[in-house]
Amino acid sequence: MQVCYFGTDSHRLYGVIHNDVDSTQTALVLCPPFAEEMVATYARFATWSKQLAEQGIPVLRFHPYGTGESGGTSADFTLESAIHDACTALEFAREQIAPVRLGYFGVRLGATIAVLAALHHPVDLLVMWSPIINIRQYMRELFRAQLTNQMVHHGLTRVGRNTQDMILDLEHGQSIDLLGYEFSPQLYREMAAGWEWPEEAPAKHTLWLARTTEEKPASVLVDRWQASRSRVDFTVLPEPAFWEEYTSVFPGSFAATTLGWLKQSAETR
Amino acid sequence: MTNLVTVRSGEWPLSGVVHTPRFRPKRRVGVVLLHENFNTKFGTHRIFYQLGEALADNGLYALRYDNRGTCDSPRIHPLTFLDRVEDACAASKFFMNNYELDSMLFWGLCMGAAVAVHASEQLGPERPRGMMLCSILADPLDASLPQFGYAQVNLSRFIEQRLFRGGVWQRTVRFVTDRTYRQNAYRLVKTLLGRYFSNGSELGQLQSQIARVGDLLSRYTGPTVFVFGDKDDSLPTFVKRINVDDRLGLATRESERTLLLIEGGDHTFSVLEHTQILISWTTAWAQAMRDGTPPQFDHFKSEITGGIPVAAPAN
Repeated sequence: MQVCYFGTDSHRLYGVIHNDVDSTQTALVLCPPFAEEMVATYARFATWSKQLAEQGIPVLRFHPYGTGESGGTSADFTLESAIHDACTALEFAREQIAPVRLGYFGVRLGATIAVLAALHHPVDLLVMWSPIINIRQYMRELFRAQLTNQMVHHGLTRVGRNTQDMILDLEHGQSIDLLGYEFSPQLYREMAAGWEWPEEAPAKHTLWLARTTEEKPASVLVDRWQASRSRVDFTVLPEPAFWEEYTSVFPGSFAATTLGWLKQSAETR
Repeated sequence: MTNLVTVRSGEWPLSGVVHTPRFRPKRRVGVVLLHENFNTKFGTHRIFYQLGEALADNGLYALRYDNRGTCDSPRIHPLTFLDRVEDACAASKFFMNNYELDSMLFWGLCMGAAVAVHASEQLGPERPRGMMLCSILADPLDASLPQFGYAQVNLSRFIEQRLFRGGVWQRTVRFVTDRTYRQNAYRLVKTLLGRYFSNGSELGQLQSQIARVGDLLSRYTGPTVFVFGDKDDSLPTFVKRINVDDRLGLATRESERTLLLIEGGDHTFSVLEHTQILISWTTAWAQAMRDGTPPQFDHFKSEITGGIPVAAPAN
């Protein structure tokens, strides 16, 4: 295991390489979820990365700029920057691990960022767990979480600033407080603009895992991708929203399906 | 500036980060930042990362690390409370020796604060010169574990808080009409049953260690600052159960123990403004400790603390 900084002095990124083998067929770059979801799942994905490495699948975990141990403040986190960082991490993994096949493993917003990054730098593999399909709706959910937090944890009977106030601040170029993170106008503009999912899967081989509640919107996109030349495996599993709470419970069926898929795809390539 | 370091805790390597000041200060004082339960060294809403940066900007050293076998530290280990205490002792010795510190301070949040108290006892003469303890976990009934989703696992506390607080009629109506409410109730009951039918030794051990925190606190003689958000549930617990009859002497004029409250603050100070207040209080306290000038506080009365004077850093 190697803990290191990479990137540039002015845009320093933090990464952890889990690699227990000298040469490898398949390696993954883990794109973490956003904000508190990243924190709540951090220990669990670190443990799982160690387990994957023991199974001969090295993993590079990295922190996008403005998050975790990387440089910058939370206001510096933008989609554009995160996509750039995912590409940098991919190149870094290629240099450090030199696998035969390299891909992204993304969770929630991290999965969406992985798709966008793979459009810039094509990858062999793409593993997605519960990707954010509608970024605009996700942003609204984040705003609602901020309001709920005020009501529950700060004992307020009426919120001081509602969603509309937050949007007004952002549109006037002011950052807002989102669960203790500084959410920048730039990130707001990117999320509000939304984005169109690509017509084709951006990887040769894709695994998309969805929870039961995500099946309907996901299957529309999967159908489109499966109609293209790419191979897309789509599985719906009854897992809880594991990113919402601090717990040691890991989505076991997601993990088992992913491991089986990685091993099988290595054999059938 | 930050350095990635490896701390040895017995046979375990711990992955850590040291924040160093840009210029070598005259007196080298380091703060060991101890994070909360089942979390990583940058902490919820990056509070520990920000603290480390702020301390270094103010001429202090700061060390953060991941406990053995967790997060960015190698290998996998089912971490116990006593492992955390051993890691904190190892980290503080590493910090003192490798950075040639003149003195060292502890800063802990929630369970990290409880770990700080235990480690300060174990370190004996090498104990920290002072401690800042935020939202300290000191009541065993509040202690929980990630496998229980940090839900309350004590039946009497559960009954008191869930059934008798608030309107019973209102709760009954919600139970009948609100599906989410029923689902949450089911989950809580499942957690409780899981706790009572499980072996429970790990939780029992944790609770017995947390139960010692109040006593160890009363034996620690260095300056201690307690910080709470006034909306944090652990504040009334601290006032009523840990500081019974002001056994920690917070109301005594000569006391070196001080209670600071952040108005509107929650358990992890998860509002940007509260985080900034906490960071500025921490740096002011650590600088005062470094310079050998006792931190200056203005005291005022607060109803929330049952007559115990609350302080704010003097301007």
